[in-house]
Amino acid sequence: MPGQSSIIETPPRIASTSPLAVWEPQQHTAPAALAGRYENDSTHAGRTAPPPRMIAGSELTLTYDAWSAALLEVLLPRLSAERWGQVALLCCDDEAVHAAANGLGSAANEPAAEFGRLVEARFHIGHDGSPDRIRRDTVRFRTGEHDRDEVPPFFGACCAFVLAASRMTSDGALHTGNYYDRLWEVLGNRPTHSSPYDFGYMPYLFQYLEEWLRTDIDGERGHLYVQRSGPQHVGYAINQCVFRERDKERLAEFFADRVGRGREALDLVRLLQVSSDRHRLTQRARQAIAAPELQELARAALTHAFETWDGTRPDPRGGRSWLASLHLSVNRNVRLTISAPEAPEGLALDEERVLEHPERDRVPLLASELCELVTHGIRWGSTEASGIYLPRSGETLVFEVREDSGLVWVSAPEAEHVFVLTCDRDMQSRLRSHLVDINAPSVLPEGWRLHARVPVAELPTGLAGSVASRPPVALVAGLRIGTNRYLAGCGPRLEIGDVDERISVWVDDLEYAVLDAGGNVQLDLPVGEHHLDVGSGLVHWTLHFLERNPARPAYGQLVYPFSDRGSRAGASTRSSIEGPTVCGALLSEAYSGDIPLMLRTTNVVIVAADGTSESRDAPDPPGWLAHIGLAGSGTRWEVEIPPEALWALTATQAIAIRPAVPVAPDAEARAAIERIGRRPRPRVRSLHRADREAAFQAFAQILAQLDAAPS
Amino acid sequence: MSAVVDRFDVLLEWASELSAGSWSQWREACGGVGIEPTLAMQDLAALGHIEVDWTADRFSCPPPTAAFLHRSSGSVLLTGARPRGLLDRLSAVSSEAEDLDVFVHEPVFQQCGPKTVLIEVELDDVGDLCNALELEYVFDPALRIAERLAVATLGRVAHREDWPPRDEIPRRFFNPEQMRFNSVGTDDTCGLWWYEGYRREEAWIRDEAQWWQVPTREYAPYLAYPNATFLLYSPERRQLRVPARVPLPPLQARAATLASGRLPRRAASPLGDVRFYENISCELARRISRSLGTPLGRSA
Repeated sequence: MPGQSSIIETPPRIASTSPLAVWEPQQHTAPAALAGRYENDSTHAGRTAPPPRMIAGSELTLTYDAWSAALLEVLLPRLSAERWGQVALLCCDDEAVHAAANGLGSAANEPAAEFGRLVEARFHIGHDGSPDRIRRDTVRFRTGEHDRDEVPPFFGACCAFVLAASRMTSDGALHTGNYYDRLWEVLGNRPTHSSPYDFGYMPYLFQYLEEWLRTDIDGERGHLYVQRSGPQHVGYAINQCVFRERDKERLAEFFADRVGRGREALDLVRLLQVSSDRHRLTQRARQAIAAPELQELARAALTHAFETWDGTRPDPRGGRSWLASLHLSVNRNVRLTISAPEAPEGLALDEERVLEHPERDRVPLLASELCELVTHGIRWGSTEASGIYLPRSGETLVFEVREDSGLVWVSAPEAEHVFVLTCDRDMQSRLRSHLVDINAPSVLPEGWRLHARVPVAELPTGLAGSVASRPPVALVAGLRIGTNRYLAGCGPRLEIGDVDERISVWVDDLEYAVLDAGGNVQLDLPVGEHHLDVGSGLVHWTLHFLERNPARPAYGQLVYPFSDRGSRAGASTRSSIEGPTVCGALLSEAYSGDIPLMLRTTNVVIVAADGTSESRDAPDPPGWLAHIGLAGSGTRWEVEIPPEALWALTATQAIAIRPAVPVAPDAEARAAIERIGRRPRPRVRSLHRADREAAFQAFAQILAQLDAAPS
Repeated sequence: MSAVVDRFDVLLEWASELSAGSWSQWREACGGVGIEPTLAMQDLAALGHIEVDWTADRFSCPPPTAAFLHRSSGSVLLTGARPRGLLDRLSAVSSEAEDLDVFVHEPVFQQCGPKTVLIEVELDDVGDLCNALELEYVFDPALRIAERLAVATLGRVAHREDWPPRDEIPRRFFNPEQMRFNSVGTDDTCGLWWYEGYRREEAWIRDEAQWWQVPTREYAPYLAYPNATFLLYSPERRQLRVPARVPLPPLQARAATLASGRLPRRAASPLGDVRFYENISCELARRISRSLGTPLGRSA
């Protein structure tokens, strides 16, 4: 690609056939990051790498050593200290080689082929039908001094050996001929003589690699698991490769269907063991996940495969297909359209429909295609070329609204209301109250109905989330107050998805339940820490059931402002708001008004400062209290107090609103005062307990005044 | 104290133990106890149990609060957070503290919310009661909230937009005479449109000149049809009648709800369901209608 300035401009080519043959990209300078990856790189001698050397024609060259170093970083990266020594495999496959090529900045169209030719150029394995020429460098490395970080010279060759194994077909484990064919393909060269070939040195190479990882670098890149069974000699390479290329496709589907949701605690090997997906793997892979002695190996390989999985799903029809979206428009008239924003520009779906601008184009879904979608799913585009697809829908399609694209078909709705398009009569009957009267029904095939704004809760369970779409094991519901922390009495439910065997549930080493696929059990556990083992190691959780939340944040973090902002957005964090607010019922401004006088008596006499009085009877109990069953004969009522009031007098007590003596109590006031005064121990109190002593004195004065001036 | 635990009580207890959380946590918890999350959040906010920041998708619990209610036999309503054990402590205080004149009514069930806890207390003792239970105290929150409500206008509560939402989003038009939503009309039809949204439908008002998006959609019917009489008040019954399709905005709903501490009673009517807010004073009803710029009709 002319005009680019990177080292990857031109596909590399082999410059010579000597053991130190180099690649010579058409490049005059190298980025600093690639220093030490080129010919004459002397890091293997334990010295600092000199700047890349300009060689004949001012060309720089990638070397076998550079590839080895890059593959080491991809396949056996340095681990964090707590993971040193963990079991590792040399899972070298085409993906790994691609990743290494990217790290090197290589733009080779077929990096694995380039790498293989470089290995062959250095060790002539294909030519000789033997890895014996690795021996000299290996001995020198193992007996001489070398830097701790120096990559063993045999590492790249080991990678090539495993790369060949990764390309074997399902029966390859039993037929070494299958392996050798793949190896010659990797190396780009094959012996001139037919088998038997002398690969007796291969086992030593893997043992030396294991030793280097364990001893020389203290397990910081893991401990290589070397399995000594299988085909003679080459079994060491084959055993490093648990999953072949064909398995990778199956595993991608397995990861997408089963693992993508809720991977955190799942044991992948156990999950494969209880999933029907295992039947689609190669014999080698099935053997590895079934045999107890290979579990460690399978676990390491599966973890590696998952960590390097790119999240895609292979296209079962060949070629590469992008998942399309199906849209429903209901304004004015009903329309179904498809889009695929990630598809390449100008993608022809058929003779008439083309995605010129996939990021914004929508093409109509034909009425006949809707019927096809029900049973088969649809792929648009030429076979074995780029295309888009929609998976099989079944007879009912659920659409939920997305802010940016309107109604979109979803398999598991998250919105609270959905639109349902269905040709299922039972479903139509069930949702008839939501039926949309379509002005032009011919836009839908015969028998289809649209139902609008259907609450998700009204959908049958199968549509809201079938067993097959469930995670294999999940904790659902429960009142969670932190990660794996629940309020006691409100524990979660353990749900089992689509699994092949009965799943046992153990809590604190006691069997709690045994569940079939689709089963569930409520976890009502006492306060404390509990250890759950589900499916004999499929998943292990430590759950905490708590009486109270020990780390509860302070209350009142959000407040509702009495401002335009509040009218538009509701409550906000306290620090972001100025002006008066309310938090629940609690207003930010203190109350400074009157406090009412509450009385349970049926009558009260209010005496004003001038001695006039007013008698008030209790109103009927408030209707709303009666409505909730709280009103009775003892219901208190609020006495409205006029500003000039001094006393409130009931049949049994005198309440000083302001403890003062009225000027000339009228007859009703006198009668009320005397009635209280005649009691052996007159009950006198002040409103809200303010100045009680003054109230006593004032009432005594009133009585004395009345005694002095009888009516 | 009642041993019967309602799922709304459980939800409130959980939210109170959490104190603050996200919408997804709320939704998960509601799913766990079989409650519709959006309505539950609105109702618990109206009862003063939670505050919601809809833009940040977060909620938090106000502190446990005793709120004095008029015409309640001198009771305070227990609102705000209701952490685990609070009701037991309340029982203990009411039975053991001899110097406090306190009577705790049996919690009253309600259909779509936690039980109502009313504490009949001598007002002179409210302070001591709140201290003993670590409660905040507020006097007559209903009217005091209503007193602070500004009059809603499009400029205050809505955003002006040149265009409505995308045509792909399903929409419905609100007919105030029929109190119904239907799909008739075009982009040019003035009035209230509801466009389908992720959590719930969104309100858009079309006037002669432009579109207005109303983030708090409950304001929209009142602003779109200012002459329509949606609110009816009965002074005899002290009831405010609100059509279910034209619900009160959050703070108006809270003011009306905190007058009794009860969610509005739901009833059917020929023009759709209605809600009756109880223990509403004339002053409170007037202030609510004024804040919405809508007439207050008299209920039979």
